[in-house]
Amino acid sequence: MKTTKNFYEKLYQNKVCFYCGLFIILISLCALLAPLISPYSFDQQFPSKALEGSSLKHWLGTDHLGRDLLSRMIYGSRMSMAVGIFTALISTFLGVLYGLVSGWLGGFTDRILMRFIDIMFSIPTLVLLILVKVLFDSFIVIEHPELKALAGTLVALSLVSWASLARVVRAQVLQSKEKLFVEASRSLGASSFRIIFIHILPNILSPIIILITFQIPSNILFESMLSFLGLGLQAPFSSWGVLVDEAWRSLSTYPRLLLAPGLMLFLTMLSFNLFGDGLRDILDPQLKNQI
Amino acid sequence: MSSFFSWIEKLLGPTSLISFFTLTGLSFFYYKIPFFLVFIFIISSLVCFFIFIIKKNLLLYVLGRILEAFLTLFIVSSLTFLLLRGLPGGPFDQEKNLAPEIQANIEKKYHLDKSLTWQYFYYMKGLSRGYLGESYKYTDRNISDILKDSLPVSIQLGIYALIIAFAVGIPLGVFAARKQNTFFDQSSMLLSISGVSLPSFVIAPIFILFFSFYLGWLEPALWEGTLFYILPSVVLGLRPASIIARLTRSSILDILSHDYVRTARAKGLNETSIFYKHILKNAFLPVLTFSAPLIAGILTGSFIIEKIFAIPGLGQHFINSVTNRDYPLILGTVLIYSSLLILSNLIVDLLYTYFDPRIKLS
Repeated sequence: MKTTKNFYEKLYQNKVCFYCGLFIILISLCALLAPLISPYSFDQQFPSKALEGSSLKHWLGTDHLGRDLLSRMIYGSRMSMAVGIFTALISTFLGVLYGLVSGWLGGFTDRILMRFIDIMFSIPTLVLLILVKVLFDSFIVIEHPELKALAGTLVALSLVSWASLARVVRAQVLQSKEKLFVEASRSLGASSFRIIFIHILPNILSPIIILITFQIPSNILFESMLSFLGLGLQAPFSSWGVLVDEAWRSLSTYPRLLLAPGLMLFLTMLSFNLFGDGLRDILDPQLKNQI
Repeated sequence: MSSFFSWIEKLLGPTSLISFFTLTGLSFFYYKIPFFLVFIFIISSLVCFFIFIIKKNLLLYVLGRILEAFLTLFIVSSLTFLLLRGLPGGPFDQEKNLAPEIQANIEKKYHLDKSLTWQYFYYMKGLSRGYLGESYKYTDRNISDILKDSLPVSIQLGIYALIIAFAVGIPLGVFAARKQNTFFDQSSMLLSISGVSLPSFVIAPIFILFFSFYLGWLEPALWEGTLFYILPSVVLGLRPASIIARLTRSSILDILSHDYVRTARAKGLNETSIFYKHILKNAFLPVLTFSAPLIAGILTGSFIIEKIFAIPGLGQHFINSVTNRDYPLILGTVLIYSSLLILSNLIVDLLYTYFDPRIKLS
């Protein structure tokens, strides 16, 4: 096994990965410290300055109600980051466990477990998301509207997004079950637990990491999609999706209103993708030998 | 006998593919679609399908899957029905100033005054005859009529996007892997990673602004001809194409380190034939695994695209029906989406056995 120090050294050597990691940390800090660093509150209006361009007081200008765009974007990062990271953690845990168990046990258990996933898969993700979220909204009582939207999106996305991971993990387990190293370790008397977690799991880590790589930005995307469709967070609260939804119709006159949150969405998702890519190159021994 | 089968297969396989692409091309260039071509496509692809199934001994498997599909659809419709009816707030709550008698009459018409069990029973009874009910919101319109109008549009959009995704994604991934670590590899991977990271609702308005307002080449909205089709299909296909390119490249690089590639090299095969005969077919497996969620992604991605480009497709109806609490329309759209996804899952699983004979379906 590689040592931790070795890992950090390699992380530092991979410049793209390193700077993307820094950018992610920066955005996370912005999200955490939003009330401290943002110049105004997300719903503070300056009606006399509506739709003004950038100035010293408002670095990115103001929107149609005279709210400071920079502050709204800083507050908007909270929603995206929280949903992206926490949902990925929960759903990865669920999905990998489910896929390993299903692929390894096979037979009847596998059929039942996969039938359940098939049922989940046969409803489109966004539809399931909307249904679960609407259910959550009508049955769970949380006073704070922003917290409620966050919790609803988080729970709904976690419950929806683990299935794709489970399916891929299962397919990979099925493939590696047929391979010689599993047969070898079984004939040496290794227990199922050992074969699964010591032999199979490290061998299928590459697709899992690739999928987590896709998971965080795709969660961010789903959150902003929901907000864009008017089913997630609602104005005056801020999320990048809400900001894009408010701005896209007036793109030709006020391009900065769309470009600023759109660029943030793009950069955040890009740095998560590149970071995961670099992480894969560092962690995956098979690919590392090649490159 | 077997030579007869293979002869038919050799003839009908290309026929089905050619007719499919001709159909797509004709619809793309907004020509009237000739009926006989649709007929040829359906017949040839069905016969090919059956020959494939019989050759692989998968007849029972496929029948079982179809049976399971109906079971799944039953469970999906029941679950959706119960979930929806579990929500507080009925479909006719928004209409103010409604006299109690009128409200009662409306509820009677749609069986909303009955208990949940009876409503469920009525719905299932209709469903077993293929009757999806009447819309609450669009008065006097059958759900089937609404679907008949909007489904072809969405399927058309989805097929264009899918073709763009595969036609751009796979070659890009293959060439990037062949020219690994060159400038072409790095730039195409940067391009594709940007494509993955760009949300469609950010890029779509920018494309509209650039291509239809500044350049004036393409139409900015609606769905009425070739010039209208290009922008939405490209925007919808952009993300899947990028994902496929990344996946193709990484799985090819993964396979390069396998023993059989070394064996093939040791035998003295030239690089090109190793690449296209030994690596490509195996590298396609992870891409195939991904293509079922990909199709789901294209279906749901069309919600956004149809909103931005004002395309009269199924996604618009779904979003509207959710906000309007139009239960029969929600159920109808969910059932249609479900059937499409189940069908594509089955096809992907069958293709899996074609590309990796080690996997046994039973």
